[in-house]
Amino acid sequence: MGFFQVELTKNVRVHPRHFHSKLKETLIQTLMDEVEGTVSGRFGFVVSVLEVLQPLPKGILREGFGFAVYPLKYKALVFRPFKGEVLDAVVTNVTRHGIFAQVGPLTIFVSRHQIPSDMTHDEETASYISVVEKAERIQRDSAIRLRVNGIKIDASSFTAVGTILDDYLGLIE
Amino acid sequence: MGLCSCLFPITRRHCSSGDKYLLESWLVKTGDQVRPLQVLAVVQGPLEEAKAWKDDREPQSRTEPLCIQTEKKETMELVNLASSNLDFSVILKEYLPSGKDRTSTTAGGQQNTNYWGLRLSEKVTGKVDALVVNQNHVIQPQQMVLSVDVCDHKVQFNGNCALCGIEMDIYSASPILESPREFSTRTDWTLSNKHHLNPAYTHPQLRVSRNELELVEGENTRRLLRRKKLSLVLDLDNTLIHATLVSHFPQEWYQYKQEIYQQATEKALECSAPLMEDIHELDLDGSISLVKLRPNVRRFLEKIHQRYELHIYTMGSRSYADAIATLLDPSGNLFQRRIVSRDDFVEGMMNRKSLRRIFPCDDSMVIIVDDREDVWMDHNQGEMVPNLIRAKPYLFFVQDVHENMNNHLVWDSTTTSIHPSSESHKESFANISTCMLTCLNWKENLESGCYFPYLPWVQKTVESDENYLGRLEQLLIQIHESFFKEMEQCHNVSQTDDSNHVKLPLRDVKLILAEMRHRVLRNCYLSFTGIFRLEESPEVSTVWRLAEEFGAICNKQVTSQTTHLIVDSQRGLHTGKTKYALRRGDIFLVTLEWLETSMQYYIRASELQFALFSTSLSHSYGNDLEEYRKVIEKRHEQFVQNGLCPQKSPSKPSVKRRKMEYSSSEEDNTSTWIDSSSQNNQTKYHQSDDKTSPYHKEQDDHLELEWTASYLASELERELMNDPLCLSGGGESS
Repeated sequence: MGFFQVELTKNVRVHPRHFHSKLKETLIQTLMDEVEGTVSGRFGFVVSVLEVLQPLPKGILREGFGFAVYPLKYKALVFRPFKGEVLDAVVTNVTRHGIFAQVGPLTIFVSRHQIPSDMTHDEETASYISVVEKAERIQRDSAIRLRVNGIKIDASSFTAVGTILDDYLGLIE
Repeated sequence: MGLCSCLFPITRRHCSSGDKYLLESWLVKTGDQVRPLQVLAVVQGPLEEAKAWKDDREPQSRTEPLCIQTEKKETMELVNLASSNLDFSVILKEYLPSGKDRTSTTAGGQQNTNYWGLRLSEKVTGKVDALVVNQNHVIQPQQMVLSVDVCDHKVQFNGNCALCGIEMDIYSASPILESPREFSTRTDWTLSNKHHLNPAYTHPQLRVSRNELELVEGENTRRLLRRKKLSLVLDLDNTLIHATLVSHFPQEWYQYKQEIYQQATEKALECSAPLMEDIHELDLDGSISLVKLRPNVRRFLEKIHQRYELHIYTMGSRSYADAIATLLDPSGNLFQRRIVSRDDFVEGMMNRKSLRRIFPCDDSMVIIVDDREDVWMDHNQGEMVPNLIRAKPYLFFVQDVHENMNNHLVWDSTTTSIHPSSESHKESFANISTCMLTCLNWKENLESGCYFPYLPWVQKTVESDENYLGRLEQLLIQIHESFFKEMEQCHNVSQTDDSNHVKLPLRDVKLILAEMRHRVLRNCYLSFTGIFRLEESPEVSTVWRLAEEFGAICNKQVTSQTTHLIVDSQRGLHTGKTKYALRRGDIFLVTLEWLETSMQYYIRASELQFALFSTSLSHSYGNDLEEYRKVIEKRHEQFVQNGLCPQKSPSKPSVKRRKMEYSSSEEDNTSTWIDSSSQNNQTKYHQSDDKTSPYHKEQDDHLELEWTASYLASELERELMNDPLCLSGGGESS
């Protein structure tokens, strides 16, 4: 899985009312609140802030606002899948057009063209059933192993397209 | 390194190839007609195709067949170029100044001196389908070398092609469907072939090309046919349920509930059952709403489920839709995931529903049941969606309880001000709750279940709704049967089909529905009075259009054929048409409600029930309206058979003579006048020419008008005294 530890910088704004002895804690808390769970550009999904690099930089007062801005450097654990990577995912929705699966925050779509042709879609049970082995079916909450074909990272969304068309991909027993 | 080239007309857009693949993105516009140009990539003789394309488009675009060369010669056999990140360089003959040769190092000089490289920014990715020539083959100019199965990106997920995985933004290949406006005309519809659509029940970010969608939907259609099912799209609010926010009636509900619980002996609960059952509280994001299921709704769904695949399409939010669906269908079998809410589409048109969102390709097997037709209206064409059955709106809770309360206050004690203070409000609440309790106690004594305790927040009309879903069920089953009967007939004719391939329907539910509609008011000749405003022309009004859709024949004037006069219960009482119709005696005077009910139930409603002057009609025929209707129907059959209108209008002298009769009989017996007039009608039919409708004459005859007005006024007064219910019943519809 594509977990990485990266060093990132974030400008944290602090309200003047926090200018007291617990400023440091406030800073770190604000950083965590603002950063964790978001998608940051090419680095991917920030899972958690591991540590804030010391010493803390000096804040710069914003003119006219009274806010102080701290350019904090921190180490973060990020989740960043890559094209070609093989991931284990949980199926969230099975449709005629393919399977939607989830790996943590990442939504992956597996088109019906990327599903082996010996698996057919069954509308009634909303699942893909193997022609050969009837018990083998991909439905909601199944675990599948897939390869990521392409990734799209936006500020708001974090999606990928995948395939289970290769050897050793597909349903995980 | 050898050069591998292939003839390959290429656009700025993505293109597909392989063999005989229709390029979606190339459309030729000639005049008004837009047609996709079939461009075969990598087949013999693409020059002609490309030339055809060139003639229709601007000449400066790259219309010449292009060559694709690849630098990775050795991995040419069936390599997935998408995954190997292979770049094609595209060579364009036209652009070849010999000096600016960038890829000459890679192009094997001796093999093909005619082609020089020029790297363009476009990338083509795809699978190499077949390699035609051997590695050491000398390639002639314009000779096919390999065929590349280029991904046409027909499925895209959030800007990624789901087939090859590349990001689509660079190409901006498929303009995403932004507004349904694009579907306004037929040409636009063809144009939209190149758009990618969002299939229902997936993900708002998923876009699928039209061809692909048609393929998948076609598969679904076949599945439904095999299972002998149609699709049914149901609305929630006011169709299956009625919901209201608890904040609309604050303490009252809780008071009522508390008291029920306090006094809840088994009996008390039992007797409040018919009204109070299936009222549920929903807590959605902090606001609590009360939901009343329409009577028999569960039974209805269960029954209909055997013949229809059920969908929900609501304008409510996702969480609301899901919550209601769980209420209606706790097992989750009926709807599964076929629920559309306003959150499911990016292009949010809040006040409109479109069938294309669920059935983008084929709506010939879909029935919609909704209480509102305006949301389904195609605003560009102003036409009703032909799949729609307009359901009778289900209203259970009074919308604005406070207003209702105030009204009651005013009603009860005239001394109370129009805007009661909060004190009096509370009092009234207390009063009502005690009133409810007494009602409930009273109820215990009543054996029959038809009595409803008076509750101020419940609509008075709920009782009349009991049967509607039953009728709807009947209707839907009828449609289903007629559809599949037709199907089977088709199937018997063409026995050649194998079991796997079920023929796509020739039959269309839209036509079945239209036929059924047309049968409802067949042989009814309608005329209206007091309903349309003077400035609007009645032919374009909704009522008129609907009536004709339901098989009635509308006319502005009351003619000799007219069977029904739709009278507005307030404005239409003293119009010339009403007077004439009254005097004729064989015209049903009905309220607009009659028309409405007929349309909702898909059956001709009883004229007796919605008659405006039921007493005057019953006078003449002794309550035997059925017989009366038969007379009319028989007459119309004759009309149809003769093809002409045999009925002649009575001549003017006869009218005057009748006037004498009326005035003499007026005092002692009101019923005789219609009798005599109808007798006159029958006898005088053939005396005058058919062009002069008595109605026209009447307008000119001031004397006569005066007389009828005064007569009618007295007649009306008498009727009001005798039968106030009749008129007030009509008044509700206005």
